[in-house]
Amino acid sequence: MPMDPTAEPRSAAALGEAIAHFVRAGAPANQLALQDRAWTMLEIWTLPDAFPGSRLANEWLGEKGWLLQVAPQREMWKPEWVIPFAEACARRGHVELFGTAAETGDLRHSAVWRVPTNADDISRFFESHYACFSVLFPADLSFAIHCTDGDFATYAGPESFLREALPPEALGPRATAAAIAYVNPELTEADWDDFLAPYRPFMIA
Amino acid sequence: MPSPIRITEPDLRQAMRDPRYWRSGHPEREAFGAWVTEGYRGLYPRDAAPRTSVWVKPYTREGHPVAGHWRRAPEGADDSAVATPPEANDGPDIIEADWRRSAWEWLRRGAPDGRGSGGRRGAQPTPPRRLIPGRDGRDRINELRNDPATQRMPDVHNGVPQYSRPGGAAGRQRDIDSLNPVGQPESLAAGRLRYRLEDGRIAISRPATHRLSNAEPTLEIFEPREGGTFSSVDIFRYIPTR
Repeated sequence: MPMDPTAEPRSAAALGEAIAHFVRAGAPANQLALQDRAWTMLEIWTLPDAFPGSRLANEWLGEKGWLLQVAPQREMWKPEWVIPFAEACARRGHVELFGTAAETGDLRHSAVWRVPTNADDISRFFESHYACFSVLFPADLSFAIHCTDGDFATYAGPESFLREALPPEALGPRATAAAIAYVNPELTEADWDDFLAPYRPFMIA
Repeated sequence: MPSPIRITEPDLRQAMRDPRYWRSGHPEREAFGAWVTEGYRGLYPRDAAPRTSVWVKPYTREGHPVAGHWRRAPEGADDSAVATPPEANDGPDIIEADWRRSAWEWLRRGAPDGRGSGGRRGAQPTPPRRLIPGRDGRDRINELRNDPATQRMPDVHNGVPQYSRPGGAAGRQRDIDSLNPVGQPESLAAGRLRYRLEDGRIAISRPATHRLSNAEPTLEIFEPREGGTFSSVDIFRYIPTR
């Protein structure tokens, strides 16, 4: 059913208290347009349990020449973790980003939030939206962080941006393996192959 | 020169479980508490600027004792710029504290070959709990943890302790009801519901997301922190009864 462009889109935040001070990204129609814009970077990813999630689209990654790095989603809740990301955004003149759910179904049309580019607010966005697929991006779509529902955050953008947004020790295959171990020590990359395989051509070395 | 040893937030949390930190009347309590406090300031300066602090243990210089103290390295100092420690008289004498050290703690747990096998494996000690009683004085989450039907799972998930409980979805619903949720649950993404508990905690029911699961019913508990943020403290997995 098409979304009523005049109705305020529902919030997808599971822990909305953390972003109680956030401001929506304009009128309902503006939010829906921004969410549609975010989806130009994404594609539907069907999980092993048939749940329709989302991920960064290979076509977008290839066209833009972006690279990727995976990190634990729960670490993004810590302001100290996202300090380098916030600083990289600020250096590029982004005073705010947009954050929203990247879900199909009931949350396909949901609230888009203005996220100030400071570490505390950025970490609050990730905390509040941990229970759904989500994406954080600037207006010019020059980079993004996409999150699965509580497990992984995927930094995406030009190589130069990734190398600023994450310290060297959080980049590369070893960091990806460590992120997987963080989520569940019993799992290896093979267990997450459905998630990782489409990303492998774009993973930063 | 002895090799520097590092101090991280988990180290400081461990220190807070030391009787010197919490036992009333302990002769070292004041000094130990001050050490932990300074350690946190080193890890998380108020302006959140990345920097390095070092803890210099007591040592002897030119025959005179020098008390242990925190010392802040110059702004922008990297690992190699940490001040050279003075000659020690007893083992490692510098503890390095740095926000990045804390943030990347999980990276150091990785196996040398880079495979995903270096996480926290095996049974973890039960972390100390802050009891949060409801109106009737009972901490019902704690009762769930200690219920005879609850089994502590050997691995943490996303750093959070996991427990298995019987009964599948019906068992989860019984547990939710026992937690005295306030009002109606809020529907989140598909299959996910949020319950506000009378003690201020949040319970989110959802399917399991990890690859060793069969999307079994899951209940995750969050405790409120300052500023409207939350900490995940427990994950209960509900195994269907055969």
